[in-house]
Amino acid sequence: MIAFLTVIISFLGAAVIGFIPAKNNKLIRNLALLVAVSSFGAAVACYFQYLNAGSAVFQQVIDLAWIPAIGAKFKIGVDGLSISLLILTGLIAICGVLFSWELNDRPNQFYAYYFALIGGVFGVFLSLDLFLLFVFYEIAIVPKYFIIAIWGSGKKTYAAMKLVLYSFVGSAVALLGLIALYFGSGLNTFDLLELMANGDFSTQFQVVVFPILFIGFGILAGMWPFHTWAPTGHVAAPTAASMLLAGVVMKLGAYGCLRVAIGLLPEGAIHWAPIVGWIAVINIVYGALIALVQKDFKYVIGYSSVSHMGFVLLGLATLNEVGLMGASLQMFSHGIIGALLFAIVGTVIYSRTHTRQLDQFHNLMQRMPGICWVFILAGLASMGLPGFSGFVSELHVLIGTWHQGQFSIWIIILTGFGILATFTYTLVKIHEAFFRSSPANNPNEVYAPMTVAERAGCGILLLFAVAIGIYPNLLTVILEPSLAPILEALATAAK
Amino acid sequence: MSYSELFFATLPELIVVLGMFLALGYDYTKFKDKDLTTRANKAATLSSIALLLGLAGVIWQYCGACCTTEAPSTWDGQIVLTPLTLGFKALVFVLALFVIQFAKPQVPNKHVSEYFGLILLSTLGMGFVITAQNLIMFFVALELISLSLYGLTAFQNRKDFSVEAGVKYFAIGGVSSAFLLYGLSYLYGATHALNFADIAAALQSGQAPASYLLIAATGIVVGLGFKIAAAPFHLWAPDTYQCAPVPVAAWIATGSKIASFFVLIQLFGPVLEHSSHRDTLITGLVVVSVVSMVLGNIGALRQTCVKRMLAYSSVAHAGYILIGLLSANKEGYVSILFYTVIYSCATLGAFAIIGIINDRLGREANIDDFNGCWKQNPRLSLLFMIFILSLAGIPPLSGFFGKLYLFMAAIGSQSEIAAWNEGFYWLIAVALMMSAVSLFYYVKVLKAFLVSDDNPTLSPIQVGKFEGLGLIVLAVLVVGLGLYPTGLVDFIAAYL
Repeated sequence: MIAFLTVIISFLGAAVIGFIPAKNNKLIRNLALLVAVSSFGAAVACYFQYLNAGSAVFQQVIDLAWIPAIGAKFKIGVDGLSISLLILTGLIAICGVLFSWELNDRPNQFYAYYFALIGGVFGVFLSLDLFLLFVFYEIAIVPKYFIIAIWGSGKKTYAAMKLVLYSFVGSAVALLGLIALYFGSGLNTFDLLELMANGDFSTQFQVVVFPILFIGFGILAGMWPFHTWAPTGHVAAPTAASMLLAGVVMKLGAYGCLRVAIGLLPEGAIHWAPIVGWIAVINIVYGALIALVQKDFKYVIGYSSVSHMGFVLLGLATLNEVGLMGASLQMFSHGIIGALLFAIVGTVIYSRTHTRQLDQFHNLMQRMPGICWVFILAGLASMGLPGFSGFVSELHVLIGTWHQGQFSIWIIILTGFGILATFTYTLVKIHEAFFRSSPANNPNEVYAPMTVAERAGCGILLLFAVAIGIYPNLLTVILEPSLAPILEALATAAK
Repeated sequence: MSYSELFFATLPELIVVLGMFLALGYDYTKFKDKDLTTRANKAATLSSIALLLGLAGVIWQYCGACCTTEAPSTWDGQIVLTPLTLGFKALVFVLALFVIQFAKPQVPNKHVSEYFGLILLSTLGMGFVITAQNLIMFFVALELISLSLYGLTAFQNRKDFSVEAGVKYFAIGGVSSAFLLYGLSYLYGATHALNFADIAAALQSGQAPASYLLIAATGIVVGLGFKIAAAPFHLWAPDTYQCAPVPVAAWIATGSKIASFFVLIQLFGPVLEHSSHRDTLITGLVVVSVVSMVLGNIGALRQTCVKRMLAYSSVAHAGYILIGLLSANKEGYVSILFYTVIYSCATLGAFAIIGIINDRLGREANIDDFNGCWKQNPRLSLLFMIFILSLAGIPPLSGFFGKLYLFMAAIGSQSEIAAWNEGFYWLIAVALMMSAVSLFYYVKVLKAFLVSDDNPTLSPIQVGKFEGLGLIVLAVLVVGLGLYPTGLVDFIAAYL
């Protein structure tokens, strides 16, 4: 029940804030912070409850009849994987509010859409019924359009429409796969657990339906070649939305790939793993190389997200314990680090320089040293330096890749190249942004130090990145039992 | 059969007719010299009271002895009152009540009472189509709807385009009625029965000549395909929707569609189930369905007039609904009826809001005219968002479940469901892709309402209290039936 509180709080918050007149700006943002903090609190409470509770994989299960005509139930519950993502979502929700602290344009509508989106995301991670999961998955689509189209910048309506259509097409493809699961199992149910236990899908069925589901969900995970919505969407979005998109929404897709596609169709997963591996490598290398040549700071981060999501996909394609663990850790890790990078570039630096073009930054290291150091820390975390969460997750993915017998050696070599490319673009862009002079651009303007809200937001995110980096056991302890059933299904399928 | 039975069976309709004559009579005599607004208000009030009393009559029938769940034997199935038919009759009455509220502030010319009288007549026609299970009764009732709607479409008789739309609707409608009648005559010839139950029995026995049935089915699909605006019989729809008064367009899109689909499943369903040409018929339906979805959605993409856009979108929705018919089983019919209900609620709501804004502008609204509506009219914008998102099929609104239910009924009807690559999966894939296309134009309208900032034309609109109530009821239905569709689904399934 505590888990479901996250959804209730978010939707309730969206409804209440939506009806507060826009002029009560302070009230609205305080209330928004309260809503975000309390949903985060509920997620953390789930974590501790899960640690202390018994050995059942899925806990806090609520199972109610809903629409018997199509076998849809209102069934929710949490395992370690969902809890880690609930915590991530709550965390990003809080920081998104903190980095939107100065928002003055229609704040009531902004937070109404914002929390509707977050509520949908929470719902996806909780659902144990595929119909319910899909309902929440689509609830999370429409608010994104309005957030980007209203509060975004640049080509915002184009980017918003592109993002929404990509998401919707992805979900439509996934829905086709879900319908196939419903009928293919012969059970006439959408119940995830029942499908997992008694699904009994034929090999041919799995081989055909797996790519449908994987592409459907993968579109939202930024999978190449369907990733193009991601950079344009991230760049056009306001900071809080970029953080949510990169931090959480892309994880929805990866979560669907793992939980539904791999979890239910292990034989299909094994059959397609080499292809998925190749696509993941393309994601990693291509994203990193494109990031290297971007002139707009936010596009750099946008493409780095695509690159990092490649590690998640690669981890998924390994289909072994270490690799899947790496993918799950990478979801969390990229969630916080990607959000942090977007926050610094989109709000902290942009609100001071009023430009994101790298060639117009002038001696930022001298003029805003604190901010630059925070970004450098975040960049190091993103590169996967030991001590940060990115290191742990990418190491897991690499070890998993090494153990994946189906992969060609080139996948491993190219992944190594991708990591080098990541190092390169991070260092190059740090240099271009902070250590170059471009005297044309207001050389004498004095930049204000970080505000309290910005410090808090950066601090929280960095804290988590370091905590997971130093003591990954915090997450692995809950992830391990949750991945076990999927691994078991894979092991059975391999025979 | 006795006259008292007949009297009680038609009591709601009699009340409505009486109310209509009262409205006409008062308008011609007592209110003759009053100004237009007063007359419109009086006529609308009288019509509404008549409908409310008629509704009370329907409820009385539902609770009372007239209602039967048995197979119809009385009057050769001319009036069959089951909980389902009564329920849908009540729904049509309620929708007509809303239409009258929305029509009240914007009567197109000085023939005020005739305007409302024709709306009432078409309502009666819809009620009779729903309760009739007899070819003759059903056809006469269908013509009552059509003739009333032809008149209503051309009601702005001072304007050429309105007359043109009326004539176009009338001409194509007349031809389609001829097709329908031709098909029905073959159906009668093949089965020797007028009563739907007897027809179904004759079809089931397999004695009806298959070639006759093919012609009958073709005639029915062409004739009713026109009424439901399925492509390629949809060409009247964009012009008619655009040029008819808004409430009339809404009424054509909702009430007449409910009635047409109600009878389509009763007539076409049994033919499809028992015909030896089943595969041919299915292929034909698939073609109609796909063409409707593609033409409707592609056609809507570039429209600037919102009513015209909704006309194309209604063509697309007819395509989605026909997918349910392909299943040729009860679940498919249930999904069709469910979808018509929720589609009608959402469409009526959307049209009503467009009507309110048209009325304020004094002309047909383009999409740009809605710019910045969120600022002046936040409540209207919110309601409009609910209706449009339901049409687009976004959960948790009812349009999503309705569509999914249609798709699942079609796939579920196939004998070898595990064979993923056969049958209707590809059709569903087309439908899903087309609904992704539709999202583009729906979001485009919402963008004008909720995103755009500049606003030269609109000022805050005072919505009448009955209008507002109607909109809120429709919105609650659209949301409520999405969150909890089971009640309605079970009701339809229990009595179909």
